[in-house]
Amino acid sequence: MFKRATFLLLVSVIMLAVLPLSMTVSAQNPDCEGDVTLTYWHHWGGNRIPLMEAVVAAFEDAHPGVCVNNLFLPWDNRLQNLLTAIAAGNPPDVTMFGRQDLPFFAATEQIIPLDDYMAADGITSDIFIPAEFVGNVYNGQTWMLPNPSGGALNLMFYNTDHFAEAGIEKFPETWDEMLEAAAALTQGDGSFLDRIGFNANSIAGAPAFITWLNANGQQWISDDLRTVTINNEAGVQTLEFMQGMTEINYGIEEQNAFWESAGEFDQMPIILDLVSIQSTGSWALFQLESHAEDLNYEVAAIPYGPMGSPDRRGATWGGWGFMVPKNAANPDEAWQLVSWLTTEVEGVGGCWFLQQQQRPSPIAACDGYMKDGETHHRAEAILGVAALDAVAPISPVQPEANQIVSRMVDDVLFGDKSIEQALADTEAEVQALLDAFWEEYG
Amino acid sequence: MATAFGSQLRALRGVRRERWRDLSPMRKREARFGLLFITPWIIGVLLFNLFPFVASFILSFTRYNVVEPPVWRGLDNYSKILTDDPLFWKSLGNTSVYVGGSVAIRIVLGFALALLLNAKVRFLGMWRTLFYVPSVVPIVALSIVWLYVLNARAGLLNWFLTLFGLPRVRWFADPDYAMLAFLIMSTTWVGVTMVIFLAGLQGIPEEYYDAAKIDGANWLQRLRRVTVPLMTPTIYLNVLINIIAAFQVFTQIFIMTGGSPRDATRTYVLHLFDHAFQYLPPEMGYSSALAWILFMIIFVFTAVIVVSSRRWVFYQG
Repeated sequence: MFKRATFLLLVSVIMLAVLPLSMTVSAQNPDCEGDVTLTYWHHWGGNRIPLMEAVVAAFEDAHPGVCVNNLFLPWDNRLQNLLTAIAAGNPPDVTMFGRQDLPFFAATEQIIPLDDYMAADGITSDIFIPAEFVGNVYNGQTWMLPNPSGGALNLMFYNTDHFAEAGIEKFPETWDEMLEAAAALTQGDGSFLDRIGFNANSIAGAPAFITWLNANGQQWISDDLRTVTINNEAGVQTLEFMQGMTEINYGIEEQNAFWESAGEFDQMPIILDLVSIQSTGSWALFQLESHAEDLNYEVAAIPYGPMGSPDRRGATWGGWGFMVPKNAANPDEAWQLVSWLTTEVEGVGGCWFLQQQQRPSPIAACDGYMKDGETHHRAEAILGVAALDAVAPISPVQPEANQIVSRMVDDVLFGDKSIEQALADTEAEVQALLDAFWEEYG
Repeated sequence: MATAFGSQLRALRGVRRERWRDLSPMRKREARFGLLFITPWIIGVLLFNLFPFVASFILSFTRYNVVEPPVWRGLDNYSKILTDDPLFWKSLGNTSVYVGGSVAIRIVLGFALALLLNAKVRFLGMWRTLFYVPSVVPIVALSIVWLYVLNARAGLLNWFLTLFGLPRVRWFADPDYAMLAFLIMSTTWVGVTMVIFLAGLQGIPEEYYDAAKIDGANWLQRLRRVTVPLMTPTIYLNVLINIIAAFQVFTQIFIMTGGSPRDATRTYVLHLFDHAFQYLPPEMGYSSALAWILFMIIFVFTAVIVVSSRRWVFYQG
């Protein structure tokens, strides 16, 4: 009897131990033989999984003796997983990482600076597009390398048939023109929307207010990330513009109610013919060409505000990259993998990975739109828009700051506060948050 | 009539504790096996419940960002929560509305359904299953379904309202209606309450109803004078379970609105979650303090219900 009981107990313990393993998707090449096995976390799901497997396999071929345990983890709770792994002293060797999350991890030195590795391998920052590289640097050190591009986020995809019907000949350049165009394109009975011309609250990348402020010539925070700079004339104009656009859409409640029904990603509003102009990123190209073959559309840059300029439009904001956490078991080999994922142009590496998806690359020498010897026909337009993007700095308290800024926009759009009061309150609140951070970590 | 606590204590006092050395070899062997089988559970409780419970209390007095050692801050977190965190009060208010509304819905509706399904009707098993099944559907899937049901433009509920000439409601876009939408959604789990009520109803001896009928009591009088008093232990259990669960409402709100619009659906646990896992730097100490305040609130509610149960909970015999 005791033997049976012991057996049952053992089975229970083994089942409990195995349970967590079923929560991730792991791929390790059984043919790879090596002394070093790197643990690699990424979030490239869906049709990108086989692409990433090919990149990893090519890395193993190019680096005999190094194998990779390639783990796809869901994007949600990525920070929770990473923080837990770091706290437990068992982080991955290499992980995909958001540039927007960098300041905190760098300030607390939870990741390894890559400058020495870069110098040893002759990799210099000028191989990257400057706007892409700057977000990987904190306090003068390089903590991660970028891939894919964080730029080309604020592309305006617009339905040319809608424009023709409304008699609009060219895409708006300024906010006034944008308001005029949106009013002509919006359809409904005055309280119930049938189609939105443009939703200024739905912007790819940075929070909408920060992007529009940027397009009005004003950075939301100082370059040293210590002073919030929104309570000014540019901020007032920005909120007035967002307010005006929301009024065209019958107010914030109807706009939000409409938008929640308007779909996303593969079934995004422009595909469903529910919006005439949609702000989204370069990744949307694939969705549009796969799911909206009959859609007649063009791509343009975000319009600029009264204090802005035609040369400064959208905001390069965040983007992803790869880094090596502190306490990684094999930092030297981990660097080799980071380098392969971000700087490899010739082999099946970082450049190839983006070319298969036809997305812009942060590496200057890599044309992400070049696939099978042909450049995508929209590449020139998209890269032209990306060139007008200005870098929007990311603060070390960004997630909470984003919530506060979004709350400010709601305060104004719901009519709970005047624009001036909302700006003053928000600047003070985010500034207090920043001051507390710098007091602790500065 | 005995109170809940009174009868439990008397039952415990009736158990004679035996010394280990007085046990027969057979009883000792049984006890060893009992301990062996309960060991994984005990280890689980110690590791995954008791340790975090104690640790979170200590962490609530610190600044802890996970990647660096905790730094002692005394009562700073508690002080900030109570005096300098408007979202604490906002989320507590929202949660209170949800607790009050959802518990009332689940108790009243669960009891009504149990009464209906305790009757001798055709396809009884099918009806019981039908009402219970939504409770076992994963909450993520349920949330997606409810997003469609409550969709402002094409949702089933708005379509139903328009049949009666009522205006459509922007459930998740209008701060005045967003929490009501989650209260409507809370009917999904009424099956659990219903099953517990059903078990209670089936424990009421038929003789009481027969005696009441002979005395001339009609259906409503039997419900008021026999069913409800004898169901008070079950009502008590359901109220406790539902209040504790409702205070911790999180998943559906996290998935469906994330606290919007205008923080109208920002509940307490969502606020706590944001500080722990969404913000950078992570504020585990602050979140632990929030968790302990929630624990105290639930504790006080539970204590009030337990103490008051002496007045309104009746046991047979």
